[in-house]
Amino acid sequence: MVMNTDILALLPQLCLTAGGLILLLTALIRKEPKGPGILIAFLTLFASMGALVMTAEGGARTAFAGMLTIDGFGLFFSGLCIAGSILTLLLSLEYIKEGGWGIIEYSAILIFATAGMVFMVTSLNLVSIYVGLELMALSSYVLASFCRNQEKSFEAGFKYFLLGAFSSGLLLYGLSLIYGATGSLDIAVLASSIQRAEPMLVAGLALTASGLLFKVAAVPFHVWTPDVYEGAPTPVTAFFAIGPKAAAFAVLLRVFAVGLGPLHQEWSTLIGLSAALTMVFGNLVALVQKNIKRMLAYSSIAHAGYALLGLLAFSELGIKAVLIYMLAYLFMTAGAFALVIFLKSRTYAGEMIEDFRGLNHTHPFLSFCMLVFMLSLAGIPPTAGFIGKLFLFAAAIQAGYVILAVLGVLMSAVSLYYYLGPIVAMYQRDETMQLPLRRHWSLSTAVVICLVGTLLVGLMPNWVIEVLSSALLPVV
Amino acid sequence: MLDALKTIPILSVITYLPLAGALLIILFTRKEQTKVIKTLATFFTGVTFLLSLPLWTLYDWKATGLDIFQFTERISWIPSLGVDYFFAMDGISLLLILLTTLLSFISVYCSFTAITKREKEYYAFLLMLETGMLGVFLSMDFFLFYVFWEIMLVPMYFLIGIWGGPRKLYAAIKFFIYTLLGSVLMLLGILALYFYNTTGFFGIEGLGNAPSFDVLQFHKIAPMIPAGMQWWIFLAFGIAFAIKVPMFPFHTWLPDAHVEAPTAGSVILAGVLLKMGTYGFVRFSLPILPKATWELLPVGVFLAIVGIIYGALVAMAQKDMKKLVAYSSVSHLGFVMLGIFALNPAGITGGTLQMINHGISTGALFLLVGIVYERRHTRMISDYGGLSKVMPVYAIIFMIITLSSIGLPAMNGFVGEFTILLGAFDRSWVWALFAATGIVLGAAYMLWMYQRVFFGEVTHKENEGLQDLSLREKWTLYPLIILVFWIGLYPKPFLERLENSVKYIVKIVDSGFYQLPEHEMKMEAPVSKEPASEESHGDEH
Amino acid sequence: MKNLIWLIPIFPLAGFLINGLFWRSMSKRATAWIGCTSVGLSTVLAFGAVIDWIMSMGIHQPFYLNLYLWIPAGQLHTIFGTLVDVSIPIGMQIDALSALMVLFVSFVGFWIHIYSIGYMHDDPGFTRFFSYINLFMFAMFVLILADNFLMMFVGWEGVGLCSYLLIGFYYTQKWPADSGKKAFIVNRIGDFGFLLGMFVIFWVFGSLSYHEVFGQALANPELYAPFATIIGICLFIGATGKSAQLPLYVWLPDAMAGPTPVSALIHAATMVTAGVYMVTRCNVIFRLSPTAMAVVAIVGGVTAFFAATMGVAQRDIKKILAYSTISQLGYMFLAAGVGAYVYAMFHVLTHAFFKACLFLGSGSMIHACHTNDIFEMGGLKKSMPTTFRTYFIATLAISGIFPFAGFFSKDGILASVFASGMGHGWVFGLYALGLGGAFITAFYMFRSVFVAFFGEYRGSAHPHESPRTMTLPLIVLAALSLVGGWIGLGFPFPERFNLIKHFLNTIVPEIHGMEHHTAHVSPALEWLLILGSLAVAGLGIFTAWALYMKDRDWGWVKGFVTRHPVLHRVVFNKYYVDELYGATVVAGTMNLANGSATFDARAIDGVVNGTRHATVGTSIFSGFFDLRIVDGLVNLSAWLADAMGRVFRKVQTGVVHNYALILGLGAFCALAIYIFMK
Repeated sequence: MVMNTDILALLPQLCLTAGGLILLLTALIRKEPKGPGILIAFLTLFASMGALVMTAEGGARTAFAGMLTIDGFGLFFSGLCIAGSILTLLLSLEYIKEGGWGIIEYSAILIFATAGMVFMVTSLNLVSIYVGLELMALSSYVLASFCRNQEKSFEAGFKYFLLGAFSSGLLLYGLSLIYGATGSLDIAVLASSIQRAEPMLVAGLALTASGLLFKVAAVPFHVWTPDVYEGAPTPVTAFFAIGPKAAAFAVLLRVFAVGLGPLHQEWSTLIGLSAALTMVFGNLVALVQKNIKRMLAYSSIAHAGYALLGLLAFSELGIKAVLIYMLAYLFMTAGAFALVIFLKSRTYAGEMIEDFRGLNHTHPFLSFCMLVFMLSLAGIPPTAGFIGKLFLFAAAIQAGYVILAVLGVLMSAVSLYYYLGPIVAMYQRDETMQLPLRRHWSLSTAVVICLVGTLLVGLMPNWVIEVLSSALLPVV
Repeated sequence: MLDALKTIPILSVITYLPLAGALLIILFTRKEQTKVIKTLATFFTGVTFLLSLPLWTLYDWKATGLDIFQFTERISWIPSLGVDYFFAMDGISLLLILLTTLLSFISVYCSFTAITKREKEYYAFLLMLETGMLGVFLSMDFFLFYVFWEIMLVPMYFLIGIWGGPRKLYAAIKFFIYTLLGSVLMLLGILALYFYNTTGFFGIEGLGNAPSFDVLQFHKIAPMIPAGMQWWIFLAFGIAFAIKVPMFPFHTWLPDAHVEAPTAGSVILAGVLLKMGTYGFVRFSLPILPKATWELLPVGVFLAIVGIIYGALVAMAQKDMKKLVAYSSVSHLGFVMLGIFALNPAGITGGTLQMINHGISTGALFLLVGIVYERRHTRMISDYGGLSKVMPVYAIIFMIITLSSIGLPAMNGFVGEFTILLGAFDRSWVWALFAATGIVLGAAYMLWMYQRVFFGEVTHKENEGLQDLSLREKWTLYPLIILVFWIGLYPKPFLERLENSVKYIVKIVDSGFYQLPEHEMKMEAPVSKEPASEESHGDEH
Repeated sequence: MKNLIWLIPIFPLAGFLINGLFWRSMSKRATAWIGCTSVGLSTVLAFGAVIDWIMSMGIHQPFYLNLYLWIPAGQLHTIFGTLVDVSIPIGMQIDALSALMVLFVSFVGFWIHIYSIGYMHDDPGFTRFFSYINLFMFAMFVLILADNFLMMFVGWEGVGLCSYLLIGFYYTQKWPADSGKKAFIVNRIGDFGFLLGMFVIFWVFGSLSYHEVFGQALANPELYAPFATIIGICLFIGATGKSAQLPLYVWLPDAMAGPTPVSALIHAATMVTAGVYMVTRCNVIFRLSPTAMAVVAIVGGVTAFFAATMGVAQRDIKKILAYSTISQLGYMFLAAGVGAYVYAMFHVLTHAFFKACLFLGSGSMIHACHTNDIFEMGGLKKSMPTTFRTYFIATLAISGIFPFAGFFSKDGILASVFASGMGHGWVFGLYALGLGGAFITAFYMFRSVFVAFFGEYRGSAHPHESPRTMTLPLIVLAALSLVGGWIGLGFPFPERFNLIKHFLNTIVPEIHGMEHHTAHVSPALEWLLILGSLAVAGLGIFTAWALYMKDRDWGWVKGFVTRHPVLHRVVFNKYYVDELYGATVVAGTMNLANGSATFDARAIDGVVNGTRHATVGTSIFSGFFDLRIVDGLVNLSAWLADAMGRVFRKVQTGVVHNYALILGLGAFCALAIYIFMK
């Protein structure tokens, strides 16, 4: 039976769902109510953020018979996802206006996706995780193909849909195998009910891994990423890069580090292999990209590789590292995409790295921001990216994955080469900016937020770490 | 009045003053106000220099043991990791700090006419760079050190990449990535140390100390670190530092960077940046990893000596003045490394002094080359000849600096080289034998260049009208010339400031040095073999 | 007054600074005044100080003046494991040796300064010249007065620098510039030895101060004897560089590219004798090692002879003098090598007088005739009487004719060589070389006299006697070449007349347990030796007279040259040693340099860029794989899809299939890992 404490625990998700529905209703009431629509969307997101805090007040606990958990870990990731959606929305406004798309359905779907993610990261039950994941995924497919009038976007959405469906299939199959092997869907119980690595369980583990690695876009399950990232509308790309990825990592951590912890020996090989491949492949392919969205797509693959090291380390430090990294990654990636959006790109111009040339002469501040984001992605102090990498490699070393750590640092040195691309274009060309820029408060706000975030995490990582340490206790 | 400086966090003030200047320039000046920008830049570097001067007298060089680290500033920065904001200064840092502030001031002062585009950013970057360099020399927290070490790359990258010569892009990116490749490995080394000091890792039992990146703490635990582990960490550090020095065969980024960089860039690069590598060896590799130092000594020394001779030979074959000077740097820094690897007080003292000397002489050489480059826009030796006739003062100063860089007695270079060789000889006469040939070669290529540039009749029409040094240009060089003779004739003040700081290091590296009378004892390394378990099982379950 | 010796070098330094810094505004007159007074003051001070020292302390006890601590650089272990401080002072000392040196160097230097006023008068670089030679005097004084090896090295390199600057004084011409560089670098090679020597000394003795090093060596010779050889030979390499001995003599003939006063001052009287000074200074160490002594003696003897032979065929008067200098230096080392340090230094002294006189004389001739070629002079006896007389006296002196200065020193040397020959037979060979050298010297010196001063004038200029400023120094030096030797009256005069010997013996202390193999020579033999050397000299003079005086048009000589062109060419080109070095050492180095430069650009940097290209290459490939292969399948399947029908074409871009394929494969691998692991 459901108690109101459980309802309280569900508050964020409820806020989001309700908000989404309201949006749809307003769409019925009035034709194209831009202003109020946006307002409602933002309200919903902030409200859910607030709700998050409220539920946190209650302290760590489970609800709905252990289906749902309120722990620092879940809360952190929920917060991350919601923040990601807020940034996405900020990035989207101007873009959508130009594209002349329905702001209502856009933000509604975005919010549903967010709800899905929050479900994912807060559930302790494989099924509810799956449901949340599907909710997120389905919304993402729509978002990817949102500017219907563009073939590229449509194609992207469709690819994403088919492949996503495929991977969901894998995931579902894997989960069911695990269930079959352990007789439990409850992550908390799972760990205790695993005696030994019987084939069925391992098979399930492998398939689950495949399904989740697809979501975080790790090699060899990354193939969809470049096309989808390039095809999807830029704000949506940004969203994919931050929200779903983070959520997927959360699930990965929960299922593997907690649920399948005892099988660490088994899955470490798989994850380690995938991590190595991802770091190498992502960085190397990124080197030769001319299109900045594609470049960022591959870089996001590479970063997934780094982040996997955290899971691999399978230690408190490791998980802490992933959290910090996801936070850092949110800011720097969103920032980078914001800059891409700044360059007017109704047609797919303004996505070439070359298009940044001379930005510094016309907009020194913007180019400074881009500089910071790029250096942060490359992991140069004093930026968030550096702190994140530091923790990941520290975790890897501590756990004895020295080879992988070496590979990682070398690759991050290599990555500097392509992150320098935009910098060279902005600073070291003596021509001035060619493209017109979008000017909109929402974009500027987003950029500033990201800049502040990147530098803050970089310069005084301490309070972040404090927060996270508390967030971790229930997990490991 | 000076003592008042003791009450304020003088080191931080010195370090961040340039940064403040940079921000001031960025935020409150317009591109067009070049005069204001130049004034600001000069003012801030100047004040920084003046503020750093009192340290010379305030630093108590008689202190021994850990007291050699003075003006300590320590605030917890990332408690959960044990990272502190920890500044302190010993004799070695002191000299390098003064060198840095002086050269930064000079390099701002010498750029007034050389830099004609995007002055605002230029001076801003120059100032940021100074902050970065000072931070590197003052950080006694390894994490902090690393942060400064990498931050400093960015402004340098831009200095080369924006105001550089035709191949600036190639040179800048090569510089940035090459150095980064080294330093990321260093980061892993640092982490390994960190974990060994605390929880242990990699199946290795840690010491269980409180988490900390405190360099002095690492110095303390140096003897306990198992040899095998030291070996790997030394490799990680060594590559990072060797690239920076640069030691043969990691030196090829240097000529490109130098040739493309603007004059001020070259001055800073040669004068200060390269010293970070040698400084790294003195401050970290030796006293933290004594056993590995002894084990890898042959390699290091071999590379140093090859660097000395090889650098000189390659320099001899250069047609481009800047390239020649760049390769001469490779040779000179080979001397520095040789001195450091002599692992005895004389050698390390000489090596450290030679860092300063090289900063002065080579810095001045780059200034001088820059001066004619500004007039003729060529650095090819063959485009000159007979300059003594048209630019007598320039010729005289160039001669003085040339002589100082080939180590003529009574000039700075000699004191350093002699002490280094004395130390090296004491360790192994073979080293000194080979290294000393570098002195002969040095004379050969420098004088040859001098002859081709200055002697003979004026062969090119364009050179006939060349202006001799302007007053400003003279003043960029006078301080360096004074130092050349000061260090040459009365190096005592410099050496005595180094004495105890060096003693501190030697005591860690060669614990027997001050006790054991037996000559043989110090010939082979005091290595005690602890097997470091290599299999990787990281999980705490 | 002896406490002021630190001022001796300071005066010329001041002169250098004033002339050097204000060279724009200096009038020639002012320059000359500053230049000469500075050295004059040093001279006066030198005499005063030495007299004061002898008066107050006697000649047996050196006087030390410690100025300040120069290089305190941590500690080191000596070879015996004792921990010593590296602390090298700046200090000065006066003993018999440095006293002798400082006296004649300052004196000769002063007169050459005076001479230069006249000689350089029309030269645009007048001020530059004076500042340089003042600097030289400074360095030379430092070299002499130093009380430790490192400070001597400072002077040592300093004089090398000045000689570089002064040889290349006419830098706009190629030969001087090249010669200057050559001189510096060859000297550097020597200094390389000196440096190593110092390192060994420090390593063994733990100090570089003379009195400590030699004191310890004297205290227990047996302990240090084993190291004496290596130290001695290293130091001697330095000496061969500075004093132009085999095999490093090649720079001195080219050094004649400099102005003549420079040749007189630096490349005859003072600097080149620094090597002899150094060997004498270290006589304690050398005497500990017979091997080192032998090396010194042999190199000296051989040089003495061969340099002389090279002088025979020269036409350039300065080159003739240059070779005679090398040969005379050879004599000095020969003396040092057989332990006759006294006569070595004595010869340094007399040589300074007559060789300076000769060079200045040649300078005055060149000044008058505007050529260096003696065969374009001739008959100058009439037009330049003073120059002739002085030159002639000096020539007699160098030929070792009684009672000129050269006779006493050279005779002393030969006698002591002979004497030690009674100890070791092989030394007689050196004696023979010395004697032969004496003959040739007399010959080619008088050749120059006869050719240049007698007969008809063959040149195009109008020779005239030089101004007073130039002749006065000539007279002074000529006088000294005449009487200068009398301070060292050897056999048959009674011992007590041999002042120089008494004076210098104080720096050649007894070493316990070292037997002296200078057997006693009977008076009869002494007479024989004296007459022998005189006869040899006379023979040389006669030959010269016969060949260049008697038959007016030198028919025989010309005939000889045409009959043996090869021999003549070989001798004239100083046995092609220069060319040999050029072909081996210099070319070798340059090739090595170019080789390494190529290696650096191609190989090492190649590797760096190679890795870069490799990385980018790999990335391109992976990118290629990512797009092409997949897209290839895409197109293929697109074609398939097309075949299937257009209906689902839009849907079935085919891409998805293949992506899905990859996903599936991935999942399969994930499974496989475990299946195969199990």
